Amino acid sequence: MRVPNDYPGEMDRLTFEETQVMDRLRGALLTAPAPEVAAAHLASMAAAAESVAGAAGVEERGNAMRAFTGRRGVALAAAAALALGAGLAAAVTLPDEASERAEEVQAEKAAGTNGQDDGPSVQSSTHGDAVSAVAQDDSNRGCEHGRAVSDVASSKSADNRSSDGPKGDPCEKNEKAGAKGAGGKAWGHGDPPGKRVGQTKPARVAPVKDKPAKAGGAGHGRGGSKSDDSTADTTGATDGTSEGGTTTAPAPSPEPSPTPSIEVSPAA
Amino acid sequence: MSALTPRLAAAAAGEPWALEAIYEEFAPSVLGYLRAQSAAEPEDLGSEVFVAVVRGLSHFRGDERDFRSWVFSITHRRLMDERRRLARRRDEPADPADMTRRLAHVAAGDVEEEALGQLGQDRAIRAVAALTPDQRDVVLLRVLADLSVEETAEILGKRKGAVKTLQRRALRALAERFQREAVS
Repeated sequence: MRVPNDYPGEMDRLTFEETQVMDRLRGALLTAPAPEVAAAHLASMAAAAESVAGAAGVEERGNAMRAFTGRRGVALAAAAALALGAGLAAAVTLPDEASERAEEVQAEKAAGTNGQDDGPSVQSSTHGDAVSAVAQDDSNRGCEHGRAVSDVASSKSADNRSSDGPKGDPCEKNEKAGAKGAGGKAWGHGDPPGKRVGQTKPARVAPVKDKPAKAGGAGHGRGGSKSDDSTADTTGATDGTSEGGTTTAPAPSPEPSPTPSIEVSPAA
Repeated sequence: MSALTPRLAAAAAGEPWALEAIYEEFAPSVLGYLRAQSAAEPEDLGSEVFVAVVRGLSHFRGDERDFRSWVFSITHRRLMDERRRLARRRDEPADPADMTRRLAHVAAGDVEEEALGQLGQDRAIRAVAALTPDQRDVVLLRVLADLSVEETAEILGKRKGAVKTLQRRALRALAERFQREAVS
């Protein structure tokens, strides 16, 4: 036990009686606590130490999160700066590259487009030549000639038609029409049944020549293919056209048509 | 402030052996100080002191001497808090049942004290209680806590000269009291 000795002066020194009083007080008051009291105190201290350790852990985690947040902020700022710099650099250098690339792409596209356009045009010209050749062929006459031309002309568009209704032999129809007087009316394919009943529509008259009517003759009507006017039959005297399995039969005109009938076949 | 000693560092880390060592060293003086100051519940108040020490140990910086002064500054503040709390409680009407229990405890304590021969402690406490509050604080911090005049002055918020004067007068009064008791 340390004796207070911080009295520098002689007058401040402890007397013998004062030292005896201090020793007596220490002997009477400094006593060890009871074991149960000491155990309770130590338990309280241990619990406090655990709570302090837990709080310290939370604080450390908080510090770590703050530090992580700080580092993340710096990293994000650096990344943003890099991205901005890269963007500016790209903005300065991109036009040349972009223009070069655009020119390349445009050239490639133009070449591809020309190639695509050439095909159909060549095919069309070839198709037209074939149709023209058949039309100028004098081996057939009349309905046969027209049918031959029609077959060639419609060979291209046959695939584009959604459905072709059953068609009979146009030459036979022509013969029947011719037997009735050859005064038929040719309605278009798309006329609904019952519509325009009683109306008369002059058939398109193909010129009566030695040569058969050119492609695109009467009887084609509406609903035909746009690209193949020559696909229509050349009878020009059909009572109607069948499409989709339905047949429209216009009412016969009470008076003979003022328009001349078509000589479809030599026999008619 | 110097670095913590290994024992204090271990106690700050919650090591049980360090906590026990600190308790064994400071428990007699802390509890003796509280008893001599006539604390209402010295053991309970002592428990609060040691818990506060453990909680504040992570923020403490200093050596063993500083640690001793720090522990008794906590003890003295806790004692002052208890006195203020009791002073407020005295203004409230006392519970008759509680008064009965207290009287029974005092009576039984007297018998037990006589039986166990602890008259010396009781006499010492009564002698210290006869001092003025300032004299009592100085004597107990100087004798039981073994603090220096400077450390005592710092805790009590007094000048060193005042502490010396209070100590001398307190020791003289105690000596006269013990001499009277010895003669009688």
